[in-house]
Amino acid sequence: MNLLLELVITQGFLMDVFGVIGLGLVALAAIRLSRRWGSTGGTMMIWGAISLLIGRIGILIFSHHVTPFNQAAFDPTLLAIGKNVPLALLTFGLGAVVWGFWGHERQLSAAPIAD
Amino acid sequence: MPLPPVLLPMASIDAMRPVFLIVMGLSLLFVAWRLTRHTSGWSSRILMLGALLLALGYSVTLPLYQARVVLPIDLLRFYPNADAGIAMGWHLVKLFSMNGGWLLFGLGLAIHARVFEPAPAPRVVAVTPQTEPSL
Repeated sequence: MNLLLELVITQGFLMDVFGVIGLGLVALAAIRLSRRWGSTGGTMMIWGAISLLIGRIGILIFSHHVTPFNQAAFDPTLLAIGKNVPLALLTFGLGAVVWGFWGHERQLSAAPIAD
Repeated sequence: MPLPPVLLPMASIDAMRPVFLIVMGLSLLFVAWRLTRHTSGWSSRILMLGALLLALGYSVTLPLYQARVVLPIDLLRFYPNADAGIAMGWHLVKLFSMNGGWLLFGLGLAIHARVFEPAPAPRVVAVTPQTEPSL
Protein backbone atom coordinates (compact mmCIF):
# COMPACT_ATOMS: atom_id res chain seq x y z
CA MET A 1 0.00 0.00 0.00
CA ASN A 2 1.07 3.53 -0.65
CA LEU A 3 2.94 4.98 2.30
CA LEU A 4 0.82 8.13 2.50
CA LEU A 5 -2.39 6.13 2.27
CA GLU A 6 -1.15 3.85 5.01
CA LEU A 7 -0.25 6.77 7.23
CA VAL A 8 -3.59 8.49 6.75
CA ILE A 9 -6.01 5.57 6.61
CA THR A 10 -4.60 2.36 8.01
CA GLN A 11 -2.69 3.92 10.87
CA GLY A 12 -5.19 6.76 11.05
CA PHE A 13 -2.54 9.23 12.15
CA LEU A 14 -3.99 12.36 10.54
CA MET A 15 -7.56 11.68 11.57
CA ASP A 16 -6.48 10.86 15.14
CA VAL A 17 -4.75 14.23 15.30
CA PHE A 18 -7.96 15.88 14.10
CA GLY A 19 -9.97 14.09 16.77
CA VAL A 20 -7.60 15.11 19.55
CA ILE A 21 -7.63 18.73 18.29
CA GLY A 22 -11.44 18.62 18.31
CA LEU A 23 -11.48 17.37 21.90
CA GLY A 24 -9.13 20.19 22.85
CA LEU A 25 -11.49 22.66 21.18
CA VAL A 26 -14.40 21.20 23.17
CA ALA A 27 -12.40 21.72 26.37
CA LEU A 28 -11.50 25.30 25.38
CA ALA A 29 -15.11 26.11 24.53
CA ALA A 30 -16.31 24.62 27.81
CA ILE A 31 -13.80 26.69 29.78
CA ARG A 32 -14.86 29.83 27.93
CA LEU A 33 -18.55 29.04 28.40
CA SER A 34 -18.28 28.44 32.12
CA ARG A 35 -15.93 31.33 32.88
CA ARG A 36 -17.17 34.11 30.67
CA TRP A 37 -20.83 33.31 30.19
CA GLY A 38 -21.37 31.70 33.57
CA SER A 39 -22.77 28.53 32.06
CA THR A 40 -23.48 25.87 34.66
CA GLY A 41 -23.19 23.00 32.21
CA GLY A 42 -19.75 24.21 31.20
CA THR A 43 -18.08 22.83 34.33
CA MET A 44 -19.39 19.35 33.63
CA MET A 45 -18.26 19.69 30.03
CA ILE A 46 -14.73 20.60 31.15
CA TRP A 47 -14.49 17.39 33.22
CA GLY A 48 -15.92 15.39 30.34
CA ALA A 49 -13.60 16.90 27.76
CA ILE A 50 -10.52 16.40 29.96
CA SER A 51 -11.34 12.77 30.65
CA LEU A 52 -12.13 12.21 26.96
CA LEU A 53 -8.74 13.67 26.06
CA ILE A 54 -6.86 11.53 28.59
CA GLY A 55 -8.78 8.41 27.59
CA ARG A 56 -8.28 9.01 23.88
CA ILE A 57 -4.55 9.58 24.25
CA GLY A 58 -4.37 6.51 26.50
CA ILE A 59 -6.12 4.39 23.87
CA LEU A 60 -3.79 5.73 21.17
CA ILE A 61 -0.68 4.94 23.24
CA PHE A 62 -2.04 1.50 24.16
CA SER A 63 -2.88 0.54 20.59
CA HIS A 64 0.49 1.86 19.43
CA HIS A 65 2.41 -0.38 21.81
CA VAL A 66 0.19 -3.44 22.12
CA THR A 67 -0.65 -5.30 18.92
CA PRO A 68 -2.22 -8.74 18.44
CA PHE A 69 1.28 -10.06 17.78
CA ASN A 70 3.09 -9.02 20.97
CA GLN A 71 0.04 -9.22 23.19
CA ALA A 72 1.20 -12.41 24.89
CA ALA A 73 4.40 -10.76 26.09
CA PHE A 74 2.57 -8.48 28.54
CA ASP A 75 1.18 -9.16 31.99
CA PRO A 76 -2.56 -9.83 31.58
CA THR A 77 -3.46 -7.71 34.60
CA LEU A 78 -1.55 -4.71 33.27
CA LEU A 79 -3.06 -5.33 29.86
CA ALA A 80 -6.57 -5.29 31.29
CA ILE A 81 -5.85 -2.11 33.26
CA GLY A 82 -4.27 -0.38 30.28
CA LYS A 83 -7.21 -1.25 28.09
CA ASN A 84 -10.11 -0.68 30.46
CA VAL A 85 -9.09 2.51 32.27
CA PRO A 86 -9.04 4.63 29.06
CA LEU A 87 -12.29 2.95 27.99
CA ALA A 88 -13.94 3.89 31.28
CA LEU A 89 -12.59 7.45 30.97
CA LEU A 90 -13.99 7.68 27.44
CA THR A 91 -17.40 6.44 28.56
CA PHE A 92 -17.53 8.80 31.53
CA GLY A 93 -16.27 11.68 29.41
CA LEU A 94 -18.92 11.20 26.76
CA GLY A 95 -21.64 11.11 29.40
CA ALA A 96 -20.29 14.24 31.10
CA VAL A 97 -19.98 16.17 27.85
CA VAL A 98 -23.54 15.29 26.86
CA TRP A 99 -24.83 16.15 30.33
CA GLY A 100 -23.03 19.49 30.35
CA PHE A 101 -24.16 20.27 26.83
CA TRP A 102 -27.73 19.53 27.86
CA GLY A 103 -27.41 21.77 30.91
CA HIS A 104 -26.02 24.57 28.77
CA GLU A 105 -28.89 24.19 26.31
CA ARG A 106 -31.45 24.25 29.14
CA GLN A 107 -29.89 27.40 30.56
CA LEU A 108 -29.91 29.05 27.14
CA SER A 109 -33.52 28.17 26.45
CA ALA A 110 -34.55 29.47 29.91
CA ALA A 111 -32.73 32.78 29.60
CA PRO A 112 -30.69 33.48 26.48
CA ILE A 113 -27.26 34.87 27.19
CA ALA A 114 -27.16 38.49 26.21
CA ASP A 115 -24.30 39.55 24.00
CA MET B 1 -34.05 -12.98 43.67
CA PRO B 2 -30.99 -13.83 41.59
CA LEU B 3 -31.10 -13.07 37.92
CA PRO B 4 -31.64 -16.03 35.61
CA PRO B 5 -28.40 -17.00 33.90
CA VAL B 6 -29.76 -16.03 30.49
CA LEU B 7 -30.25 -12.44 31.61
CA LEU B 8 -26.96 -12.15 33.47
CA PRO B 9 -24.74 -11.31 30.45
CA MET B 10 -27.16 -8.52 29.50
CA ALA B 11 -26.35 -6.69 32.73
CA SER B 12 -22.59 -6.80 32.14
CA ILE B 13 -20.50 -3.79 31.21
CA ASP B 14 -19.79 -5.21 27.76
CA ALA B 15 -23.50 -5.36 27.08
CA MET B 16 -24.40 -2.05 28.68
CA ARG B 17 -21.69 0.07 27.09
CA PRO B 18 -23.12 -0.03 23.53
CA VAL B 19 -26.55 0.88 24.92
CA PHE B 20 -25.01 3.81 26.79
CA LEU B 21 -23.15 4.90 23.65
CA ILE B 22 -26.31 4.73 21.53
CA VAL B 23 -28.30 6.76 24.06
CA MET B 24 -25.53 9.32 24.43
CA GLY B 25 -25.02 9.72 20.68
CA LEU B 26 -28.71 10.25 20.06
CA SER B 27 -29.11 12.68 22.96
CA LEU B 28 -26.08 14.63 21.75
CA LEU B 29 -27.80 14.98 18.39
CA PHE B 30 -31.09 15.96 20.05
CA VAL B 31 -29.48 18.60 22.29
CA ALA B 32 -27.52 20.02 19.35
CA TRP B 33 -30.74 20.25 17.36
CA ARG B 34 -32.49 22.03 20.23
CA LEU B 35 -29.56 24.42 20.69
CA THR B 36 -29.38 25.38 17.01
CA ARG B 37 -33.12 25.34 16.34
CA HIS B 38 -33.71 29.07 16.20
CA THR B 39 -30.26 30.12 15.06
CA SER B 40 -28.58 30.27 11.70
CA GLY B 41 -25.03 30.79 10.57
CA TRP B 42 -21.91 28.75 10.30
CA SER B 43 -21.40 27.93 13.98
CA SER B 44 -24.75 26.14 14.22
CA ARG B 45 -24.21 24.38 10.90
CA ILE B 46 -20.77 23.13 11.94
CA LEU B 47 -22.08 22.11 15.38
CA MET B 48 -25.00 20.23 13.84
CA LEU B 49 -22.79 18.47 11.28
CA GLY B 50 -20.40 17.43 14.03
CA ALA B 51 -23.26 16.15 16.17
CA LEU B 52 -24.63 14.18 13.20
CA LEU B 53 -21.24 12.57 12.57
CA LEU B 54 -20.83 11.78 16.28
CA ALA B 55 -24.31 10.27 16.44
CA LEU B 56 -23.47 8.08 13.46
CA GLY B 57 -20.19 7.06 15.04
CA TYR B 58 -21.46 6.45 18.57
CA SER B 59 -24.83 4.89 17.83
CA VAL B 60 -24.09 2.88 14.68
CA THR B 61 -20.40 2.26 14.11
CA LEU B 62 -19.07 1.59 17.61
CA PRO B 63 -21.86 -0.86 18.61
CA LEU B 64 -21.32 -2.74 15.34
CA TYR B 65 -17.63 -3.01 16.16
CA GLN B 66 -18.32 -4.08 19.72
CA ALA B 67 -20.82 -6.72 18.58
CA ARG B 68 -18.13 -8.03 16.19
CA VAL B 69 -20.48 -7.59 13.25
CA VAL B 70 -17.61 -5.66 11.71
CA LEU B 71 -14.07 -6.96 11.92
CA PRO B 72 -11.37 -4.50 13.04
CA ILE B 73 -8.64 -4.27 10.45
CA ASP B 74 -5.96 -5.25 12.99
CA LEU B 75 -7.52 -8.70 13.22
CA LEU B 76 -8.00 -9.07 9.49
CA ARG B 77 -4.99 -11.31 8.99
CA PHE B 78 -6.31 -13.82 11.51
CA TYR B 79 -9.46 -14.32 9.43
CA PRO B 80 -8.38 -15.19 5.87
CA ASN B 81 -11.97 -15.64 4.68
CA ALA B 82 -13.14 -12.20 5.79
CA ASP B 83 -13.77 -9.54 3.18
CA ALA B 84 -11.00 -6.97 3.44
CA GLY B 85 -12.91 -4.32 1.50
CA ILE B 86 -15.84 -4.30 3.89
CA ALA B 87 -13.54 -4.10 6.90
CA MET B 88 -11.62 -1.23 5.30
CA GLY B 89 -14.84 0.61 4.44
CA TRP B 90 -16.14 0.39 8.02
CA HIS B 91 -12.71 1.45 9.28
CA LEU B 92 -12.95 4.55 7.08
CA VAL B 93 -16.48 5.25 8.33
CA LYS B 94 -15.33 4.96 11.95
CA LEU B 95 -12.24 7.09 11.36
CA PHE B 96 -14.14 9.90 9.68
CA SER B 97 -17.26 9.86 11.84
CA MET B 98 -15.51 9.80 15.21
CA ASN B 99 -12.53 12.06 14.56
CA GLY B 100 -14.22 14.39 12.10
CA GLY B 101 -17.26 14.49 14.35
CA TRP B 102 -15.28 15.60 17.37
CA LEU B 103 -13.33 18.11 15.27
CA LEU B 104 -16.48 19.70 13.79
CA PHE B 105 -18.38 19.55 17.10
CA GLY B 106 -15.49 21.18 18.95
CA LEU B 107 -15.09 23.80 16.25
CA GLY B 108 -18.80 24.65 16.29
CA LEU B 109 -18.88 24.77 20.08
CA ALA B 110 -15.78 26.96 20.14
CA ILE B 111 -17.30 29.42 17.67
CA HIS B 112 -20.52 29.33 19.69
CA ALA B 113 -18.58 30.11 22.87
CA ARG B 114 -16.57 32.81 21.03
CA VAL B 115 -13.19 31.28 21.75
CA PHE B 116 -11.66 32.83 18.66
CA GLU B 117 -12.83 36.37 19.33
CA PRO B 118 -10.83 38.52 21.68
CA ALA B 119 -12.22 38.89 25.14
CA PRO B 120 -13.76 42.28 25.79
CA ALA B 121 -11.40 44.78 27.34
CA PRO B 122 -11.81 45.12 31.07
CA ARG B 123 -13.99 48.01 31.95
CA VAL B 124 -11.82 51.01 32.69
CA VAL B 125 -12.94 53.00 35.64
CA ALA B 126 -12.24 56.63 34.90
CA VAL B 127 -10.44 58.19 37.75
CA THR B 128 -11.14 61.86 37.93
CA PRO B 129 -9.33 64.14 40.29
CA GLN B 130 -11.28 64.85 43.33
CA THR B 131 -12.86 68.20 42.97
CA GLU B 132 -13.84 70.34 45.80
CA PRO B 133 -17.51 70.26 46.36
CA SER B 134 -18.82 73.64 45.61
CA LEU B 135 -20.88 74.82 48.42
